[in-house]
Amino acid sequence: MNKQNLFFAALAALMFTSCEKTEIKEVEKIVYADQAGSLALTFDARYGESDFELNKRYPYQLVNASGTYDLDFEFNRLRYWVSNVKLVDKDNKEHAIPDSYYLVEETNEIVVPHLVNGEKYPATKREEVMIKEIPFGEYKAIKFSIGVDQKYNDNITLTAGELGSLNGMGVSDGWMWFTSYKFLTLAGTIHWADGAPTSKAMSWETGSNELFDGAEKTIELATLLKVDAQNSAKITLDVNVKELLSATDQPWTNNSISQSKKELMIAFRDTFLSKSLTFKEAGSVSVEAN
Amino acid sequence: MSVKLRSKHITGVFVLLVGLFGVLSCSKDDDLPITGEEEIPFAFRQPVFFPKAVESAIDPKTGLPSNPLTKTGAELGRRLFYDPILSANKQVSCASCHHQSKGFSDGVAITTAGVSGKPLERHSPTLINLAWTDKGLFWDGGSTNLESQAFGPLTHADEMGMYLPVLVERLRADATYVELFHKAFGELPSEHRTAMALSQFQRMLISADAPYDLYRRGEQLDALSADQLRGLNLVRQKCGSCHAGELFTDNDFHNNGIDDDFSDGSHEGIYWGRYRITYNPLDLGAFKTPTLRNVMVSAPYMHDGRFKTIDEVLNHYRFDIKDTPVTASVLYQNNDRAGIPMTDKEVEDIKSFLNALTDETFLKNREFSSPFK
Repeated sequence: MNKQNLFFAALAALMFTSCEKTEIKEVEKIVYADQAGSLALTFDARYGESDFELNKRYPYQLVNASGTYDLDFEFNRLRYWVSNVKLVDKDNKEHAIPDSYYLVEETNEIVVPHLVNGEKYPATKREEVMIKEIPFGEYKAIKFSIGVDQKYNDNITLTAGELGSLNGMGVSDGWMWFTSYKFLTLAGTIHWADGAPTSKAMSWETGSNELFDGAEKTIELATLLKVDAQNSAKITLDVNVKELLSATDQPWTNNSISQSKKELMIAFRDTFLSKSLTFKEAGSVSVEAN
Repeated sequence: MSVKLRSKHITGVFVLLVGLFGVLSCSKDDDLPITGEEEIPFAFRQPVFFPKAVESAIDPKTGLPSNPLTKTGAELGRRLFYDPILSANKQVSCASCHHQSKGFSDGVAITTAGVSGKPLERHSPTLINLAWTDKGLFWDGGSTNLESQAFGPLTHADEMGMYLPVLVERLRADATYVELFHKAFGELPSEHRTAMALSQFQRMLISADAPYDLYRRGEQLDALSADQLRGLNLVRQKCGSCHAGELFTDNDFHNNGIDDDFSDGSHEGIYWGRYRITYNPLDLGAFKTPTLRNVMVSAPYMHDGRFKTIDEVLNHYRFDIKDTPVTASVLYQNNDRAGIPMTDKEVEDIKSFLNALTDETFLKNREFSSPFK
């Protein structure tokens, strides 16, 4: 290459570099459109063998060291952040899904507690998360965390995926005193005929950066899951709320779990991950059929 | 570039074409509704002798500070700070409890100026040199940064009581705000940009022009009297472990011996101080060290405003520090007994010096005042 050509090449490179950000973005988009599929991830809430419904009393026999007790649980809210989704391919390579933050919830209308105007957070049911930009491939497992990692948890003005204070577990309808996200919430009423009073509000919550460590769940799929131009994927997980109640054997006493009870928060989180959340089914769906 | 350009016509045309191509190919991305002028970062003042200011949190997506200061951003923040549209009943602004003339505190122990009219649970803190606050906001440090902190008073039932979706609706229905958010962020108004703009304005609230500063920078060597110089030495010696350095605060949390009973866990642990955040027993009753800058105009004092005057504060440190297992060890200056020994004369010198931390330039700076007046 003579000097002049070298100069032209360098100049062209310089021009290209000055636009590098734009160029790369566009290229990425094109690549994704051609080589990425989608995955519908469903969190199917149930109570034991029944469908999970809000505002319905479920009998629960509590057995602990003091005896056996017949309680009823009635729920008005189940919510959690699903984040940092990764798919593990058949060669054990992990593919992290960018900006994967999703709020899964089933909640009654909530009167926002700190208002003078009586605004309400609307009743919401959302169990399915549609994940796009899944690189084509065959996958054997999916990983995700329950909660929000520190970099976003410490600054709720940063947006990614569904994160943001307008969403239910930020601050719009439930103040956390350290301005960060609640990770997992189960709320309602505990009824106990022999109690005094005979019912109590129940509010179990987790949050804080410390709780994010250890909040990852790996779901092994029964068979390899194919994502390609012809097939999108579907994974369904069970979320058994009855199992979740075993986080404590003293629910009447521990009707409130939050920041001040770290051990119970951890137990609540771990019960969700290890007992409540289980694999149900997975499969590929023809894109045309969709 | 080491290649020597010869005056060849063809080369010139080629360079022109390549250059034009480069400009055009970039123009799409640059076609944002932000002018070059508005993108220029606001010249942030980094006073000599101050430590390096804390930048906004890194945005994980870009690897850059998530809320860089811009002129338009800070000006938007200033307007929002003074605008009662941010409160549920449109009667309360940030400035309702943060008065510039009082170092952005409010002169009362516990305010009732919020939307509910109910007394708050803590004293309104000053807003001074917040760009250096690196260990958390609020008296207990419960908020990691200014951006997240903004949502506290905005949404608190007894402060501004705002439901954020309503805030966004209001701002988007206001043509002026639509334009200002567009200029500052290239976006429609949103709750997170509101918090970012407020943070930008608050990072600009820099106090570094008190007589002490003029003396410190050598700009006016007689800015401090002999009494004040003695007071400066006494403050450095007796108070400097917490009210440290040029900021006159370590921005940290200490139990300064004002209480000896921390059994009341009501109101979500409001009386526990830093402990409600960390659940570290050593943090019981620990609160953030306020800066001494503008201290003589920002009475009353402590997290609950219990001391009405600076004399009460100094008397506390001389005579009334409670000896508890969690009282800060630096307060045991009295032959290992609780208390900071000071003679009456020393108290007078200290007070004299504290007056030299009153920064009239800051307290009267028009750029920090209401843009509505």
